[in-house]
Amino acid sequence: MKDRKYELNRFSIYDSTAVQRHLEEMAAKGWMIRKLGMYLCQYERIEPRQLHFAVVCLPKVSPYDPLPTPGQQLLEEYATADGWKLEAQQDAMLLFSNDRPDPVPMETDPAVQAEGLVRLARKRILSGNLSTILLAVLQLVMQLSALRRRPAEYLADPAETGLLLLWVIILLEGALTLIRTLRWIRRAKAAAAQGQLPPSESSRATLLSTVFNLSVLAAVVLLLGLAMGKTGLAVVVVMLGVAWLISLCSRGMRELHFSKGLNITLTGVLSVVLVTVTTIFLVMALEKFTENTGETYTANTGWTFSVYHDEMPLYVQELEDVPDVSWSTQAEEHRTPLLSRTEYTQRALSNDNSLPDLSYTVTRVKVPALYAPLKTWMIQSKKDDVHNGRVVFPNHYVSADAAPWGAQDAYQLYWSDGLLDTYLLFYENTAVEITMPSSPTPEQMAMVGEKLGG
Amino acid sequence: MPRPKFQTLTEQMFYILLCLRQERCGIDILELVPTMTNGRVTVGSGTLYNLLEQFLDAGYIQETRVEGRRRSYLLTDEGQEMLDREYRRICAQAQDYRRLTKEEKTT
Repeated sequence: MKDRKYELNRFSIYDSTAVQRHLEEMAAKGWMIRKLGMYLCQYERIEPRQLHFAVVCLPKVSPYDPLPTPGQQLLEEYATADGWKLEAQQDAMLLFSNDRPDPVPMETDPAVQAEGLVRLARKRILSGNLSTILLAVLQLVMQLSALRRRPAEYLADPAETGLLLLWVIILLEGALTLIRTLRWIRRAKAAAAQGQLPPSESSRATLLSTVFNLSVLAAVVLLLGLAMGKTGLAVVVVMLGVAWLISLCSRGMRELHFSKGLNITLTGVLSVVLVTVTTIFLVMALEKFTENTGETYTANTGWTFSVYHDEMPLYVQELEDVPDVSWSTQAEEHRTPLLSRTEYTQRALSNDNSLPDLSYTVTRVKVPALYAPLKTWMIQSKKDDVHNGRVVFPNHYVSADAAPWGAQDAYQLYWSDGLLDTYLLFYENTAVEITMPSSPTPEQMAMVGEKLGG
Repeated sequence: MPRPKFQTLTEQMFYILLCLRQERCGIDILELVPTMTNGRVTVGSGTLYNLLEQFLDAGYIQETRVEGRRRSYLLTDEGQEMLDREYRRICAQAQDYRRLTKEEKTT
């Protein structure tokens, strides 16, 4: 028979009525609360008993105060006089039990109880949520700016698109929790003015919030895993371990009666040192781990690059007459449910610098509604360098004849002081960015349309 | 509308301040309040702790002695003033009650 059990924390820290009721039910079933965490509660098996529970908040307690705090000791002394026993604690929230049949309640003045809970809710939930909302807004601004600068790359990258979605969800959850807490504070104040206890919150909403927060954490790990593979997951695990170690040290200092100031200082120093050391270690380990062991080619210039043998829809040999040499052909694909984007690069494995390279990117849009805005963003992704209203460095697409390419629309890149052989072509649900080896002939244009535009 | 802080006192606030006209510790207050009100008013330990903190912050009481965990408190002049103001308010309420019920009986 198990002597311990865990359950998700279904209750908000300021929802004392619901917490008390739940703990009474658990004690009647033979389970006593032992640890109260932000997400998990730990219970220990006891003889099933009818117990009374009380939640008392100490709003002045900081997460860095030495344990037990003088306030907590004083409260325990008062509580013991009425038969109350401290069972568990989470920061400023203390849980007491009492086996007397009709004990004097620990909270006898709803106004005072409401004020304590409201102060705690303001200090912990409101400030925490405002920080989350601020962080989410900043992240969204950065993500949207990246989306604007390189729309096709962004929307084809599952990690980046996932992060955008994730920050939107975090912002919404933060805003909803903020609204819920503000509403609860308003109701608690109104109830206290009527001499009543603060109202109970829906435990379903709090449970959903807990499940959501844990899901977000899992999603972050998954997205980083998608973005960086196994090394990404290893980085996340190591960093989570560092965060856990820092929190463990801070907790240890509280139990060793370090003063609040000393604890904050040492925790800060420890965080900087541990994060710096771990980052240096990870960078060195990653460099070693990702060292290229595949086929490479070193040109007579001394430059070494990796050699690939991927399939490409269009080869430079199909566009121009070139000598019979070996080639590196690389295809790098990124895909999301929104679009897929493949970057192709063909490079001669030769010291003959006159041999042309070929590079192009094919973006296929899977959601038709996305095609029009993506087209605008791609055209606008090249921007002139403007100072005081004067163009100091031109860098923009100009409209070109689409017919020879068999495209709906065609654009050519104007860069510095002239047109380059770089084109942006739009077909049905497909966009092609291609740098031609030389000024394209009508036959070459038709070949590009036939091979890449379909 | 919520009650502005300490503009009026709840029964428990009133009796805690009343107890502290003499130097006393928290446990003494827990025992004394039910005794002085014939069991009509009791103060919970959580409520007592939070109110003592709030009264200290407001300057209505001061800490006079710390012996181990035990802390003793005493009413300050501001606290006495608050208590007097509350007494006058309660008296005014009682006078209003007496006057109005007397008027009703005579009509």
